[in-house]
Amino acid sequence: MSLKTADLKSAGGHGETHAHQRLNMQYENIDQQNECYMVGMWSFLVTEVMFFGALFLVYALYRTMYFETYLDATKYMNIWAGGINTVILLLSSWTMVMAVDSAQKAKRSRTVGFLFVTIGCAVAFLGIKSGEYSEKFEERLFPSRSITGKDFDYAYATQARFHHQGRDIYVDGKLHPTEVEDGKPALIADTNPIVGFNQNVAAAKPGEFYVTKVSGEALRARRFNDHARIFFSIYFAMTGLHAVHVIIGIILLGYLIHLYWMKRKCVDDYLTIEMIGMYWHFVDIVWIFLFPMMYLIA
Amino acid sequence: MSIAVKSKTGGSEHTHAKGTHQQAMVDGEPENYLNTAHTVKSWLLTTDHKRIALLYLISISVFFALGGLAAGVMRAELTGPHGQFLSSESYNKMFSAHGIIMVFFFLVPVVPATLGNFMIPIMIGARDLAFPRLNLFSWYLYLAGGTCALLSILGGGVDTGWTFYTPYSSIYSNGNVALAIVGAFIAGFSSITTGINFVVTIHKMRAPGMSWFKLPLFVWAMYATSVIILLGTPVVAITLLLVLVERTLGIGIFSPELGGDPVLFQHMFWFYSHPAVYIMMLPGLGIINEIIAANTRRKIFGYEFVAFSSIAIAVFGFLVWGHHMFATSQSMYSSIVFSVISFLVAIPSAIKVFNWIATIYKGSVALTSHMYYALSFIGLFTIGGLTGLYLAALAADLHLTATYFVVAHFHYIMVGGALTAFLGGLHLWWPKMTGRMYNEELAKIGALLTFVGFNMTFFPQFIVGYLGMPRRYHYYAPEYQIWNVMSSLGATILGVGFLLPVLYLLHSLKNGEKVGKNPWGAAGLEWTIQSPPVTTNFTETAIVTWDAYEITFESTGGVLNSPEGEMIPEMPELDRALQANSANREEVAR
Repeated sequence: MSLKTADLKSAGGHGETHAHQRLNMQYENIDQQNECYMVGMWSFLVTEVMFFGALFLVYALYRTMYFETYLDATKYMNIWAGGINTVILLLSSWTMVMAVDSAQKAKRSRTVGFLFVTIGCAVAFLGIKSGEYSEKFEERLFPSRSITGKDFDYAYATQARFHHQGRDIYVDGKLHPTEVEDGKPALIADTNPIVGFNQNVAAAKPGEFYVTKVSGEALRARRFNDHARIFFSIYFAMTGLHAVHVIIGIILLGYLIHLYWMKRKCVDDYLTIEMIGMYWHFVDIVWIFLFPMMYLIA
Repeated sequence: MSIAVKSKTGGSEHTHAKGTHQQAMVDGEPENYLNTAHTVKSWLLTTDHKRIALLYLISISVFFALGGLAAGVMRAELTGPHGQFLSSESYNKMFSAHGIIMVFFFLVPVVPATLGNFMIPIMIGARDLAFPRLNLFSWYLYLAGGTCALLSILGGGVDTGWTFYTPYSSIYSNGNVALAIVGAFIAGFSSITTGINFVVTIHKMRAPGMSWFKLPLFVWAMYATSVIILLGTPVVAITLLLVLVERTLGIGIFSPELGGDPVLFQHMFWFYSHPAVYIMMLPGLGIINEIIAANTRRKIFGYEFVAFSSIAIAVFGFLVWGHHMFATSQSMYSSIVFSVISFLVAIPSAIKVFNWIATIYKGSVALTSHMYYALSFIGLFTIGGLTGLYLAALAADLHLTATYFVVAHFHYIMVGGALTAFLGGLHLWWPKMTGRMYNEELAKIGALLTFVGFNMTFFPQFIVGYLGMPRRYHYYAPEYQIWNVMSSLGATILGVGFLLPVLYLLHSLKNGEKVGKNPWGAAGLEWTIQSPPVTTNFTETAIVTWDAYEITFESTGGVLNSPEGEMIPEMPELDRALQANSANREEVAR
């Protein structure tokens, strides 16, 4: 017994309006099939909301715990890059809507055109994002040495970005002295080496575990450094996961272009593009939350 | 087993309608989903929910055997107070392997992916699940996840326990934690795709006449399960992902050395993993309804209450995760709230148990092998549930937490509950799935062995846990040895009890007697179609004219006979029902 039984097609009774849409064997009619697709897509988006929701919980918890650090660390966010990215994503959502609309109105070339603009926006977003990332890498704001080969160093970032401009550095909301010896920030000199992240415990020399004598100020500075590292961990986790979703979106948009441009898909079957459109709007909405929470809270 | 066909007025008309679809024959038997194609490709690329269910059944059985093997090694190790043959490190890896395999690759998918996959479309009158290719994809995801987990276990092992608590899992453990986490992560997506499929199918694919309150209670339970999967699994997925990036990239969110909160991991982990208990349990509770209804030939007492108790368990299940953290830095006040809500879970659970008992009460119960499983389920689930209340009580939990009492409690729920129900369901639906009957006597012996062996294994663990033996240690005080030896002996019997069904079920595939549509004389859409079903399940669109579990001519496929192969004695209610139904059917036809 064939799985794609053709005679089931006649069961629909909506043959005129959806003449070219293929009815899969398990459905009674084309309406049921379309409703199933939409309910399935919404269910999937529910799981996505829970997926990102857990990260927003983490963000909120640590923001409550280390509010001062959050405020201070936000100054390393490039508001211009984030703002332009927001505009780009909003624009891409609009072009996505227009692509779906054109598909529904059976305007194939318009559909393909809007899809290309959307995909261009997505690529531009990733480009700007990667520029931001490399800026963070250079300022030693990536949480560990795993990618950059350099440990997270908040004081270095502060020096690199603000010292030459003659701005003051605040630690825990208080003015922090920033004398520099041999080009090294004071914060580092004060801090004893400790076993860091993913470093082999056995490799550490005896005595290195312990902070023997640290002034209260240096200890505060190091705690501040650690808390900032948590902030940037969350920043990279959230924006990184979002970027992964953008990349998946680009693949899906490429698939749509393949469908509408190369395979010249029957234009009256717009379920695929509508579902991928919903996904793209979700990715957009996540960024709409991320942008103010990461860039604008200061 | 002979099949008695009962033909009443309207029956001839019924068979006439069927006769318009000429049934194709393959190898001298009617075409069905098994004999329609035999190539390897026809199995590995199938989109038929029934074939995918069988693929799942085979692969999940393999994982169960591996997890069971690890349990066997642990029980052998625990026969002496100073261990027998394992180093402490290997023992840690052994119980971690047991937990990871059994939770992520057996208990979570076992009922949804096999029996649920097979039965849900048939029970609601659909030709397949809403997304058959997604269904196949979920099986491949399961295999990919399982392969990762197995590679990590075989290639050095994981010693974190199945819970992957930070900061041990993220910083200090030297095992293959990353790979095991990837495996659990992928398996999570396998169950998410299954969950989406079920939600959409149950919402949108029901046959004409199959309203929500005519659904078999198994479908209700699977619906509640799917909702939990959709809401919970993504959270544990992201949590494990964070541990993974903490371990590999050094992105530290749970790291206490930075001022991060390791208990946050526990909160996020149990936000899924407590509801996951109900992902494992609810399908089992659903199966018991089907078995009891089939063997008493009655409607389940208080159908609506049982249906909504599944939903209530799903809702409560999301509000009690904190009871895993009574002994952590969690605030005392939130512990009190979590404790109270945990007590509340007992209410919907008890509703189910009391309604089953009310259904059986004064009934004429057919004591089939699956009824044996169902009855032992009721007892074991009750013990497991009630000991859960000890652990929900704050003061008692401080004494009992992290002892063998907890181990015994959740094994009563997971093995005594979920696994027993799965075996019961497998026995109930095996003739439908394969078209063959297994050896009923052996099956009863197997059910009894499982029951006796299970109690012997886990009841001593309540005692030894209460006395203070901590879990996850293989060195213990010598006075606990007697209980541990008893437990290990019981595990041997339990092992035989699990092996026996494998043997006679496999034997039945070739040698079992062929069965008709409805070997148990049960009611429901699945009993109105041939065994094994054709690829599209129904040769014509199913129309539901009966209430859930109502014995009518149509709901039993026109076949009524007792498990012993005898006709059911004439029952006045039944005759009335048959007459009422034929009138009803004419109405629907109009």
